[in-house]
Amino acid sequence: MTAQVLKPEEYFITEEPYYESVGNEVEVFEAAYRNQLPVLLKGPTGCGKTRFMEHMAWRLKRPLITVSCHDDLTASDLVGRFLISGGETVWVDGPLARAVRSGGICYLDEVVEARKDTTVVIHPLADDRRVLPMEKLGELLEAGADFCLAISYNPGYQSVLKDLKQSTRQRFVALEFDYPCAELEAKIVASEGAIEPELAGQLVKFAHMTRNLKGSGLEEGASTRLLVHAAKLVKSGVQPVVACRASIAQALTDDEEMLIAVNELSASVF
Amino acid sequence: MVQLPTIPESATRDALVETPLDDYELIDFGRGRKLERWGPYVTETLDRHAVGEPDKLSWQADWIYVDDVGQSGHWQPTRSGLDRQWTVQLGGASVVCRLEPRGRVGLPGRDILCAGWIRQRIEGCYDLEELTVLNLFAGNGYVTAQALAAGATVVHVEADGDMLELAQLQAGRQNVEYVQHNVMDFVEALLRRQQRFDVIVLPAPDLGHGPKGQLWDREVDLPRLVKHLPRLVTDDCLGIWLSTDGGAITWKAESLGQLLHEVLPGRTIEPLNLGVATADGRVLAAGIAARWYDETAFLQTGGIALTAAQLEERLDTHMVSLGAAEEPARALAGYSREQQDFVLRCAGMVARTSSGMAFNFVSHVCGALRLMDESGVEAWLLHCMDIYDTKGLHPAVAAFKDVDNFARGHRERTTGLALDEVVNVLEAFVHGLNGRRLKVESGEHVFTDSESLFLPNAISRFKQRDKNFQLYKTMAVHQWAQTWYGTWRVDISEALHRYPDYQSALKCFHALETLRLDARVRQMLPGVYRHIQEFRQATDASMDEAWQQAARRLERADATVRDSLSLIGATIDRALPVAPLYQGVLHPDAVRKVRKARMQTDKQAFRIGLLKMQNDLNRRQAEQHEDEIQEESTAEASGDEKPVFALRKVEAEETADGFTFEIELDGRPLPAPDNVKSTMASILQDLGDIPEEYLYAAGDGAYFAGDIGERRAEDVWKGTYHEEGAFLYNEWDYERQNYRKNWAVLREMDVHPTHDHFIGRTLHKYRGLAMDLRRTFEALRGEDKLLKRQSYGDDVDIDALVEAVADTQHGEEMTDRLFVKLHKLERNIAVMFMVDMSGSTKGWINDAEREALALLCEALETLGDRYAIYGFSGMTRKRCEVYRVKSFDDPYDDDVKARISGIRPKDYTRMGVTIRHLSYLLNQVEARTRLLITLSDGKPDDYDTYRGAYGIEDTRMALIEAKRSGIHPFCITIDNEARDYLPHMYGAVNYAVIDEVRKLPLKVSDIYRRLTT
Repeated sequence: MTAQVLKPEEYFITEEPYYESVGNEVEVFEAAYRNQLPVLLKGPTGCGKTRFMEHMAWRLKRPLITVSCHDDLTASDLVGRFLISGGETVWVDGPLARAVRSGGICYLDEVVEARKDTTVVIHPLADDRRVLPMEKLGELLEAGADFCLAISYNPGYQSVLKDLKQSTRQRFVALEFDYPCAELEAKIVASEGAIEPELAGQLVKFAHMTRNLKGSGLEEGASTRLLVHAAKLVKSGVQPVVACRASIAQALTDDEEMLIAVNELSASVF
Repeated sequence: MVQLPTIPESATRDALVETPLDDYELIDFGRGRKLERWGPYVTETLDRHAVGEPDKLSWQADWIYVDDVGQSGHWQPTRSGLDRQWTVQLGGASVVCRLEPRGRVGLPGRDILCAGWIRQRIEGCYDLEELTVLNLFAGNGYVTAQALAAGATVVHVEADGDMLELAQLQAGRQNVEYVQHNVMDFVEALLRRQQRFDVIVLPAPDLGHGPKGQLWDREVDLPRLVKHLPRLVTDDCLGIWLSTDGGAITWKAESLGQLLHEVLPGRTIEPLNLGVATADGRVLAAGIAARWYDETAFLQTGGIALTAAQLEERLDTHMVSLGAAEEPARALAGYSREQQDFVLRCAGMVARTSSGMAFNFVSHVCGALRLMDESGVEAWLLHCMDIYDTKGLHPAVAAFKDVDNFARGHRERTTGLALDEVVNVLEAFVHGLNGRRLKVESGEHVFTDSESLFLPNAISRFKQRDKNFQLYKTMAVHQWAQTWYGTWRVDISEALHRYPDYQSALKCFHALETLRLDARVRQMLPGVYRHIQEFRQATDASMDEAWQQAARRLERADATVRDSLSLIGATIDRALPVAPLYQGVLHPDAVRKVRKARMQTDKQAFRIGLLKMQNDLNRRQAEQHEDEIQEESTAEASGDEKPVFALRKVEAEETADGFTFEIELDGRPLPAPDNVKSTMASILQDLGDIPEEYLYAAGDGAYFAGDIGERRAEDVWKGTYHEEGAFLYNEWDYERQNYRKNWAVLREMDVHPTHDHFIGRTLHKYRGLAMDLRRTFEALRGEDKLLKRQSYGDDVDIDALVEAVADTQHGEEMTDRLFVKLHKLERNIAVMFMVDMSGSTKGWINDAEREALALLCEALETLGDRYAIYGFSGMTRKRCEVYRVKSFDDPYDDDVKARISGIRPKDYTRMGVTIRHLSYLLNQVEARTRLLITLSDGKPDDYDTYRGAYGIEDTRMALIEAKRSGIHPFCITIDNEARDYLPHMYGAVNYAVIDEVRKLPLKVSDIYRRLTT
């Protein structure tokens, strides 16, 4: 299959992305969307935030435009800039402007990584003005009812220098994501990894053991995503213990003693 | 009086300068003259040591020293245009060669040897900033120059004005004091001033004159001068070089050595014959020397074994009573130098904790050395010190005596697996399995008391380490299973005492429980069960019919401990099956004691948790329905209705019983914070249910175990402790939900400094880590960030330029921000360290805290952040104390280092008032980011009622006040139970638990780095 080139605003999700509701996040998101409120997704890595966004984009039938935020992100990276094309200046929209124009969902992932002076660009979009000022064009882009702004971040081990300002946080409806309960997680793993429910249950049991170790040797426990990785490996014929070692233990920590302990845990479950 | 041996002639060695060496070469010598090449020129001059016949028949030289009658000769050039002064390179330094009267040019051979050795001594020392060198009869300054290059400061004493001038040319003027003085007079002045030096260089001439004509006669004056040496050297003296030209018969290298030995016994003395060698190996004598130095401080091996006297000398510094070290020293004298150094090093380490223990160590160490290698002896020492820490003096003394037993065990250990090697893995493993956090400790028997798992110190049953480890694992799992699957939910001993033979009932019960637990483990942890099966083979084979029936009954998923108890009757008279290896024993009494205490605290914690939840809810409701409540509260308050807590059972696969509880208040579900949830889990584990009486929120006139007999602080501290000059702080009373005004009295004091080079020693001990830290923190400091879109800079920013050009074409103004600049990221951080100095930190913890601080300061100095260190302790609210180690304005100098070393455990831990005061100090510093980091070993706890919930709540309130003023608090603790109360005080992400004290120094800097990037 060759790689495809898509314009972001054409990125409609046509097939239902698999997503299991943990609580009532789908209803809350839909309600926020109908009320044109922006949404903040909080949670550890690998617990379904991005998958949730895809699911909602499919559900609401809007294109999903994702921006991965980083330290060098500037306002014009988000809003747009002039480029020279064939001797003429041409305004090119950034992902945020595209989303507003096409009435899509703009998803800013890991928003705390961006600098604070960049993040404030989204403030006018995130309160009830719902406009995007484009100073270079001298225009004010008003968002239609279809547009939705979503941001995400991981509140985990916070550095004092990188956190979300109150003036930003308080504009959003916040949804908290966490690892689902054991039954549900097993269902997800079995479905995504295409393995038997029993094996999925064992993987989830193992994941719970690693989550018990959070803070006493492991920074984070195994995320659902890692379990899916392990499941896929097992499906391809890798021994479960080996799969856990490669896809989970080594991904979680480099500390020797912790590695031995985690590997012993996986060896005791299978 | 110990007899000092004289230095034997055999001890003297040769020290040679091999030439050619850089620009210098000794070409030939003989008949009282020598031929040398100094750089571009060859010189021929007198040398009274040059005996024998020269090699070459004729010598070609550029400069020849002609000896006229008497003492004054002159230098004769053999051709025109030659310089009288030039420079050459030697030993990495420039040497000025000048034609001196009396035929001297360049350097005498001994200077080269002396400088080389001095430089090596200085560079081998870590504490570089402080080194002082005294160079008497200093001559042409080459030695001084080399000492300066190594980083020391020098006092250069020389009577001859010309020489002094040459020396200044050679060595410069930085860090050196030139003194033109008669040596004896100057030394006496130094003694009066009590000035001491780390290195002394003393190349004594046989005859000389001071500047005012004072006579120096080696025969008389040298012994006198040497006698002064002990008062001229510092405690950490790095070395003394004593040399002279070997004269006639009286002066031999050994005699110099003997001179030093008589005044400074107990250290290494090396007598040397100095010489310069030609290219083909002929040696021209260059005098004699004796080098004195102390090897043990710097762990240099090699060299002769120390004598009993020398050993006693060094051991005496650690002993309390005089003469105590005599016998051990005598015994130790027969060992190799490495072993002696090793023993001395360990003795020094132990003596820091207790000199009594040091004495015990040295008394028995020879026996240990006979039986074990060095690693074994170290293990034995650590073992005895652990016993000293946990059990006290007498058991430790007994442990020291019991070397044989330990050695035997050690032999086993080296072939088998030691618990120490795997304890961390086992603890993490058990913690991952779930339940209450259990500790793994070593014990005589294998059992659990429901909070610790006791496992054997070493297992060497199998030849393969892996199998030994699996045995450890199954033991741990089996003990853990007892706590998880409810073996201890009922009072076992009470149930078993009903049987006539308690012991056999106990054994029978254990065997039954093992069957039940194994079945549960089989279902939950199939991987472990595979190993269990292996160990069970003998057991299964020996089960008779009755037992097999019991097994079938207990293997059912709903079997509980009561089933096991009920089956005792059927099986007690039958033969007991073989106990599997991992089973261990049951100690119901130990469990009962621990469980009782825990249930008390759990109950209290749970009820307080309920109270908090209730208050939170009331507060929230009050905020939401302010108006409504006005109306209703008056009506409600009159009634007697208290809110009622209830529990709703929910299914939960993770727990052993398959269910857990959710809390409801007045019929509505109430989410519980994490600490309440974990308390609930603990209660469920113990009881299997939550009793009705637990469901009343605390404060209903309940009896708090921690507040028995509230002693008033005034009664305790009767008498006048005046409050002048002290700071008064409020304290938060959580019961009243209000402050007690001006309740705590705090004073700032200074830590009493201890000047013992503690910092230097710590940095040397952790030198690998210190280097790493420095590198890591340097990288942090100077993060060269590429700033884009700058108005000026080193390079063009293409992206910005493209945009600007596009903008211009569009008709807009072109911005001037078109450059990129390399910019060092400014860190604008101020951090305040709050160090726990309570009595509970005594021993290893205090050492670890100080070491952690030493490393941290190194890192912070590299990083450039502003920081302050304060210790805290105190007793009762009237006497809270904060000890200044380093304030923000203090530079990191010797005083601060001495104060870090002087941190000693004191009294109690009243954290709230300390946080308030240190926040006040921290807020006075201008910084973008302010951190308050606490290093603590436990909960807030003071002599009066400041403990338990009260202490925690006040501390939490103080932290909230700090946060409000813009300070970020963080806590680093070694208390394993911290997870129960720290999230409540500091917040879920603002603390770190370090499970081993020994890791504290390593982890603190790491945590700081992660916090601030």
